Amino acid sequence: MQLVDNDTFLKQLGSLFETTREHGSIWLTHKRFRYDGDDAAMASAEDGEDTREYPCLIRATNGKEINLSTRVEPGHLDAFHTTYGTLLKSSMTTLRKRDKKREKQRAEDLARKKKRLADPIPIEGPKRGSGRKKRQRRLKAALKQEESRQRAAVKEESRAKGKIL
Amino acid sequence: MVYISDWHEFQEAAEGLYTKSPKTTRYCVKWRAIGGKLVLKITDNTTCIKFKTHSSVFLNRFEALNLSLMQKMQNRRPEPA
Repeated sequence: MQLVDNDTFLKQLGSLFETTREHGSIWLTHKRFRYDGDDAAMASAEDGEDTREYPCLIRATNGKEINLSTRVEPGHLDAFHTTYGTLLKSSMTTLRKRDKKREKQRAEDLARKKKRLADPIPIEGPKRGSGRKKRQRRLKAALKQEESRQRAAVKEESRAKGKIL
Repeated sequence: MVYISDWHEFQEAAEGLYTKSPKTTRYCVKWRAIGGKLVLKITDNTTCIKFKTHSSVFLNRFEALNLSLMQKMQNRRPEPA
């Protein structure tokens, strides 16, 4: 694990983004740096004190060999973040732009599906004679629609429950 | 599942989670340049919340969230007077 200072970290992170363009991923982790010397027990006991300022530990890796880390002191956060932010924004260029057409298409498909479920299928036509098969098909379709309605209702319920949790 | 689809919800959940347990919460970002996929994960080793996206609309918001979370991590006392 290479612990470096902020500027070196940013530089190396930039080159890491470059090398990972074609294959591989980058993981960045941020957490509060709470290592109070060697006494871990004392660190957890000091719970009431909420006014301390902590440095922030940032790690970057490519999952395989490259491992970088840096600590950002409280005073340096703003300066660090401006450079960090611009670096991230300029490297993440392959994100797709807002695809209005696609979103519209999706919304339309969804609306169409909902409509299909909501429209009741009229069971009409002769029971015997030439239109019988057509009527039977309509019966089956109505049953299927009822089933999918129930399934959708169950899904909606479980989703609502999950959200409340 | 741990994925949240709405950015606003994710942001609130993230900040709430951090405020609840600042000692054990970590914020991880995974970037995959090939498919242009960004995944954000916030966990305090008990609950885990994730957000994934392919769209560049979220870049600015992502950066703002970064800043706010790092500020929480450092626990800066807002400038006294």
